[in-house]
Amino acid sequence: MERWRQGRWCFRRLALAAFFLSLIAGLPLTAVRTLLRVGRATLSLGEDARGARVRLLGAATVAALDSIRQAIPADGEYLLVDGGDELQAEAYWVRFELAPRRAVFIGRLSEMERAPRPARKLPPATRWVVVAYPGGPSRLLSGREFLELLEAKRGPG
Amino acid sequence: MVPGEALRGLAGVALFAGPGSGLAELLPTVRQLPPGRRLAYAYLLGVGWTAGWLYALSHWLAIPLRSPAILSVAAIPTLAGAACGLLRRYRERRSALPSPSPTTTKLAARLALIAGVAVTAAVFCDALTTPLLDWDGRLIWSTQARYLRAEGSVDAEVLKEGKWWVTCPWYPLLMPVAQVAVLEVTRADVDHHDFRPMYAAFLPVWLLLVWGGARSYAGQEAAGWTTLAAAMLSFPAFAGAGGATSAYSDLPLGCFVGGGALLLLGPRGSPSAGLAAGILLAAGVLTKAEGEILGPFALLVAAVVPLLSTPGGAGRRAIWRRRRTMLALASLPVVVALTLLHSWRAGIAGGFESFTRLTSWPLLWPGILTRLPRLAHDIGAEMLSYSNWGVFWWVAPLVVAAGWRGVRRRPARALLLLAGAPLAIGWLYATIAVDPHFIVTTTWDRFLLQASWPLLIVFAMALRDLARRAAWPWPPQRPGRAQFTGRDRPHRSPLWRSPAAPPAADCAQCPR
Repeated sequence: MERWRQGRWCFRRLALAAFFLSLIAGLPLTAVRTLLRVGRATLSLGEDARGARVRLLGAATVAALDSIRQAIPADGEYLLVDGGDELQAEAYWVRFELAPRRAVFIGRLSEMERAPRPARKLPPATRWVVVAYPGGPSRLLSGREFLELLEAKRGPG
Repeated sequence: MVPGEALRGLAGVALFAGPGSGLAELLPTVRQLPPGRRLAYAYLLGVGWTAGWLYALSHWLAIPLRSPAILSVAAIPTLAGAACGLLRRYRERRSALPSPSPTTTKLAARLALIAGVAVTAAVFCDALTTPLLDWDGRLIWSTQARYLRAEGSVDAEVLKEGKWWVTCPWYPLLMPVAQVAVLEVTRADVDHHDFRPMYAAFLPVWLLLVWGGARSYAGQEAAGWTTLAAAMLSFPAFAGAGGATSAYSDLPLGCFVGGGALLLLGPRGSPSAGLAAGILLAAGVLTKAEGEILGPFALLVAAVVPLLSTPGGAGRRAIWRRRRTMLALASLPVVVALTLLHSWRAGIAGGFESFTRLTSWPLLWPGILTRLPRLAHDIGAEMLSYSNWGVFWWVAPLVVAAGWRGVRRRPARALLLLAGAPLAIGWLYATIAVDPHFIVTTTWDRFLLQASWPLLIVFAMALRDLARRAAWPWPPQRPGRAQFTGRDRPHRSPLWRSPAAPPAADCAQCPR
């Protein structure tokens, strides 16, 4: 009985010690993440929202998005194409950046290149096609330019 | 960070804290809370009130989501609360009430305060200086907010017409509406991230809810250590996929449901507690799809568990009589929110397409059994991830096992049920998912975040019992009595306790 009581006593102290150790173990990660954010905010003193966008997205991407926004009115619509070879999220981010312009997603460029010619039809009233490239600036094309791009990618024959 | 822009971001927080403070003044249960917790509830009430009314007015009366409507909705409780507060202070001055006696703060509470302030400051620094970069924030919530703002309505054509590429158009829109309110009032440019501090403010609110709940049920010492542990968890603060630095709706949902449930389970049980809880649970319903279940479930738990925990028909009838007004007042906003949500969703194109694409109900059986080991493995890997949760989930089971008598106390039953609901939804979702690994890795931590407030309070109850029995690292102050004494003692009598029961029945130091 005494041994059982001692065992429970040890277990409780072990659990408490583990809890306090867990606080100590979590400290470096929290401290680093806290200091990182405070430090970054200190370094970005004087930087406005646009400057922060340029810093994070890149000047070329921001410039491309701005020019697309100027071309397509805020209540306009466009066809969105994922320019990547694999399923990536770039099209989502471009849609977010261009919102509230309305997007119709028509697929991945790599898949459209492989599609047979008769299938390559764009929805009616297509004035703008935005191709979202992962890791690079997006491109704004007219419907005709986009079909020409597809033809060029496919090559002769 | 430019000072003017930072001020606009903070003005977005004030847009909700103002009306919330007014509501807190008008609702005695919230008014009587200590300042920190009162501010936390004020913020939640402010978001719920302002965005909830704007949602309803926009859908039912086609009132545009523009500054006049936003400021009017925010001004009503702000002015009413200010007038009520001035009147009350005038009366109090005349009656010359004695000021409350000074209270001592324990080391754990001080450490928790320091950690909470530091982490909150870091989260606000991030929110004020960096554009939105997270996944769902850009994929769903903020994109929807831009559509709503452009059309000035929650019934935006882009959501109603099926031909546009919109992700999860059927998701409830309370947080995007709140986002629109901030951006409209601050006249922010489309690219500006003025709305991010609004999301960041949910972190201190969450910490204060954990502190308040744990303080009530486990005393100051255990609440302090638990809140310190919560403040040092990386996921709620810094996770880009659900934390306060993101624009996800999970932390707000957890705060709304947590705040509402704690008021319903608390010792006051007054009509004003019911009304405040109703506003918060209604906000939860309109915040995220799970809120539709979690809000009514919190009401159900608050209604049923006290009755089941009380022996004898007479005691149950007495408890029901005492709590029914509160529960009715809490149910009213929840019913209105559910009606609003379903009325709004009826006009949205695509139904639950994004959900049905990822899931298949036939997988439920025998998947509920056969997928168990795989899901348990994936869930374990998520919870034991050092970068998200430190080593908290390694240690928590040990503490709960060693302090299990603390978990046998009556409030723990309701808290465990409330914690189980989001986790059960997450488990079910993963079970019927076409790709369960993907679902677990992308959603489990967020369901855990929704369940975190009751789990942490139960943890505090176990920690209290453990520390008392181990009498370590602090020696007992008196023979037979642990360090948790005096003001530190949790409240002894939840309202639902039968009047026939002996007073010591709910005392944490008398486990059954």
